[in-house]
Amino acid sequence: MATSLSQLFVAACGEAARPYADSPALEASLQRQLEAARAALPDVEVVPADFVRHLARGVRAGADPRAALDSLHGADIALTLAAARGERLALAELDRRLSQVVARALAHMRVPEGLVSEVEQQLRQTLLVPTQPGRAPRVLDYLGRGPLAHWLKAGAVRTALNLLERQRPGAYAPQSALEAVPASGPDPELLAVRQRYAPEFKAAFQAAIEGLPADERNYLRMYFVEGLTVEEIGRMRGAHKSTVSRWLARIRQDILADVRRRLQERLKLQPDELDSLVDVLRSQLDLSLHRVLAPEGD
Amino acid sequence: MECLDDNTVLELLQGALPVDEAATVHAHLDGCSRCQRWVAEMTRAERPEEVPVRALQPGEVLDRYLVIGRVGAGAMGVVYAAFDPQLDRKVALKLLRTGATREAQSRLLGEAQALARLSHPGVVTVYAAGVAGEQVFMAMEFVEGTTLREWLRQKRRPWREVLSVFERAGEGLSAAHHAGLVHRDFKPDNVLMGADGRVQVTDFGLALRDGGAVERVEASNGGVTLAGTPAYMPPEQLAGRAVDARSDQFSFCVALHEALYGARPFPGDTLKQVAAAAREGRVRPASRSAQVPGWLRRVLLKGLSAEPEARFSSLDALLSAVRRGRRRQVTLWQAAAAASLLAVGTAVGTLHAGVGDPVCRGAERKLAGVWDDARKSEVRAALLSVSTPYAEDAWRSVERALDGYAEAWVDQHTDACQATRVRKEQSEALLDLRVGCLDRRLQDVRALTDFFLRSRGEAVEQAVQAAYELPPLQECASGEVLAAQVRPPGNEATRAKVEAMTQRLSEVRVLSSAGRYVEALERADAVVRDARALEHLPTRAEALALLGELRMRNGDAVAAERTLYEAVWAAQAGHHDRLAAQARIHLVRVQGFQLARSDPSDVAMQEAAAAVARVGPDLELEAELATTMGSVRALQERCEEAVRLHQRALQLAERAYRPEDPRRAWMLSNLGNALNCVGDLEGARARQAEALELRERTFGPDHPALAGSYNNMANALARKRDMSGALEFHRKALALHERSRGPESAATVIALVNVATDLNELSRSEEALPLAQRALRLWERVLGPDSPRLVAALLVLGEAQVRLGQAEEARKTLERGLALAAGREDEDVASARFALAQALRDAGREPARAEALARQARDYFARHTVRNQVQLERVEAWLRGTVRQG
Repeated sequence: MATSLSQLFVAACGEAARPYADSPALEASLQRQLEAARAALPDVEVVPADFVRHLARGVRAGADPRAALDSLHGADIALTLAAARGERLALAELDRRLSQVVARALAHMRVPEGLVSEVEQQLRQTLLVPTQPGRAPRVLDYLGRGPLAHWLKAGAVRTALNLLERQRPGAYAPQSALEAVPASGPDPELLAVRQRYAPEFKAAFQAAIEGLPADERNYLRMYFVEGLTVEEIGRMRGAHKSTVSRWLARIRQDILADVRRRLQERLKLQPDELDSLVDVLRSQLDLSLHRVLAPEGD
Repeated sequence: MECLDDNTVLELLQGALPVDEAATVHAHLDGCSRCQRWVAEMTRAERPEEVPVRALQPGEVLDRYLVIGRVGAGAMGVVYAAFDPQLDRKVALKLLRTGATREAQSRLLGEAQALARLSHPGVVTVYAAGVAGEQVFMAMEFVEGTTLREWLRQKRRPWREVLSVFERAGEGLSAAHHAGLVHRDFKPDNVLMGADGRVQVTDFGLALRDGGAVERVEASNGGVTLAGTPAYMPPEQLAGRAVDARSDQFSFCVALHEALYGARPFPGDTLKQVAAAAREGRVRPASRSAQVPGWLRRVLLKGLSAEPEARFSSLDALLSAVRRGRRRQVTLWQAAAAASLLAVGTAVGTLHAGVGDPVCRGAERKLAGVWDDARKSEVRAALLSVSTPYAEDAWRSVERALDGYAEAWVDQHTDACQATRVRKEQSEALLDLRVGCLDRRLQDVRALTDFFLRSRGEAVEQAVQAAYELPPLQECASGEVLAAQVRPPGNEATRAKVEAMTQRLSEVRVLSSAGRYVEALERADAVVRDARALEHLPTRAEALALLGELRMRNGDAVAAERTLYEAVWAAQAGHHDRLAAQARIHLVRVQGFQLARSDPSDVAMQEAAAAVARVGPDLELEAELATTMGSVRALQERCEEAVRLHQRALQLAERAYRPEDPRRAWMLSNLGNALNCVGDLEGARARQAEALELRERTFGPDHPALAGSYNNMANALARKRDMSGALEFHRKALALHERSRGPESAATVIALVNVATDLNELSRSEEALPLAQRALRLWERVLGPDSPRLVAALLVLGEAQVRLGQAEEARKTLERGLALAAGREDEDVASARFALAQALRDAGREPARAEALARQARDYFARHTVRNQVQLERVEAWLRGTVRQG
């Protein structure tokens, strides 16, 4: 009897997967993946040994391979394998998806006209032409942990950002959610208070932000600087948008309280002066968050 | 760590990173702006592809339409109120969301144009559709009114009334079907109920094709009304399959079911559950209380079939089934009516139980001691205790205003109660908030009536104004808006302080509306001092806003500006959106009108407009914003804008205020002045006449408040060179002031000068002379001989003397006037120079100086020709004559 798919798979996964070598469930999962790939790509050859080895790469060490396996995008892996081998039909299909993805992803970035085809060309080259003779083409880096289209999009956006950066360093500023926020009008008294304590004010705010865990800071930045929605952030955090909204509200309060405490420690202000200061901060909290979180030179 | 790789980003976006890896990834992301940007762009690329709808600012022009302001946003795009100068009408300008491709655009445009060709009373008229830049837009009829959803929410309505409205909407929808259009998004929010009683379907889902709506629901960013839409969609649309007219039929039936039974037909907490129920045809059992006849339910159920083939063949077929059923019902009803004549006695009781929900009756009782019969007669006695000719009329107007306010208050109170207790659409907590708000308004009424009783007859002149200026009840209408405000801290002590503070605020507000600025300012200062120590931002904001407004009314613009900014900040921080908007409107007045700044006031206007838009529909705020902006624009001599803004203000005021509200007269006068400014003299006169008529109705014929209207009328007539008309009204103003304020008051002097000026213009200077002399004597006695305010009286006296050939006296009078006016450059000074030039020539003195004076006057009039055309011509004629003679 020929070597079973699961034996091939376990061999590729390494020592940790040994206990699963004879699992019928594993064999069935692999069979399902193989059949699905073949059904999705009738004109492309799927070589079982090759295919299973690449599936194995997508499974994290230590994870239960059976569960991990079912979430992999097998047909997309098969397509990349065939394209890397230079199969004509696979290359054509990959090309088709590539141009579709590039056009869509870049439409949102509002890049200059000529850039779209440049990104497409460069990405195609990076994916299919090995950097050195004998090395595997980059398209084989695809692990199947998400749809191929998304992976291609990541490459497209990365390439576009690089090209833009090269064309005009620093030119590509994020579309800020707060660009439209007008600075509130000047109250001479409050302005004076704020100017007097500007360094302390800034330091307290910075310290409050720096006291947050990195991921919270990242999400805050995505919300305030990049203008992502609570829904989009929710998707990344695996949380419902209302959870994200509540989190945002809480973190605003926390930051205010923290800043107030720090100011109180550092400055011996009259209570009403401190109140005015915190009022100003409260009314401009989102703007301040934006300023502290945005990359320098924005 | 190096930059993230493509596989990692992919998992980060899906929220699929294992915890330990996520920590490393976030640590890197936190410090790497490249990767931050990459992740953000990736996320944005997930959004449905469309051209972002441009945000338009008031005053901006799109195609030929002038944007007035944003009205709302929906699934299809953003709607603005705009003005079409070509056809001189207001339109609703809708900017449509559209795909980025050329095809998507032209397809959308094609459908918009098809809609424009459709003409049916049940469909909102589309005047034009076009493309401006990348933006597809439609210009539509501006329907003043409300949506069907709002109409249904207002109160529980009998099924016949609901059905007849749906029939009319259905006819509109069916007309669209006949034109080959499918709505794709029919729901109660997309049916407009015009103030004129029309029912019109709008918001055709042009951009929603091939299941696009469902995609969009998943990707929408929360703010827009999309989320509600799928609830009305048939299974085929939810599944992304092709839709046709029968899909609209399904949505129509969902909406009708909701209107009749108070709930949508398919049960479920999530879209998934609802969709499953719809696919399986599991309609909620009919609630008995709805009293919907069986035949109507059968029509509904057929329209709600999961399979399009099982529904009616067309909406027309459904509508005729409804008509058949109703006709049958009428016959049955008549038979039943005949039978029930015998049993009338028992029927009445049951009927009553259904109509007036006893749970929520009794709001009137809360008026006891605040505005009941006893209180009324006390207030009446107080106002009539001083004998003034207009007190009786003023009392009647106060009574009318407060009766109206009390009635609206009871309605609101009842509605708030029913929303929670009867219709069950509002939580207990929101009910508490609304009742709390209404209680504060009642406190305002009590403060006002207390003030009337305290100040006895002295308050009578300002009483009407004060009664109409009670704070609007609108603020209490929405529990959600109130819920957004920061609540007072839970502890008993602070809550008591907040309550005491609102009580004091009510009292100050009354003093302010009664024109007692000095007293009000003093007390407002004290309130603000205490409010600063208070841990409750909305209350602090209210105190600051009131102080700011008082400073503004008292003319202390610089201090007002500072305080109003503080109020805005506190209101924003305390989520008191309406107050923030109100304070921003005051800031527009302070900066644009009182401080007459041009650039910052443009910003102030935008900020105020944005703040008002944030509050949501609020006619009073919108009207106030428009009229304030109009006054600023008039001052800046941007007359056409001023006219448009004042027109808009009036339209809004017609719905926001009661017909006899004095603020409407004020807005009419503003419009009249702006019309003068664009040269529409007859329009200006007509508006001033309307304003006068309205004030007469509100205040009675003897009230001093009419004087302003008389003067406005006189000015409008003078601009038309109808000097005898002007004289008539200036005389009325004079008589009124002499009666109500006494023969020696400042107002009387000004009125005397006006009358004398008209008489001069009419070449009746022999009559003008004694009046001018009397005015001058009165002023001198009050102000002393050297006051610059004597100039106007000296001018009119000098002019009379010139005309009467008393050249020497005229010279003395006018030299004195010009000396007092040293440093001024205005119309009075220019006129005085010209009069002096004439006097000098007539007296045969200093010919060179006379000519120089006349030239100076001419230069001034030439620079300000809009108002001074006649004077300019006169000076030029005089100069020509003099030069010839010379």
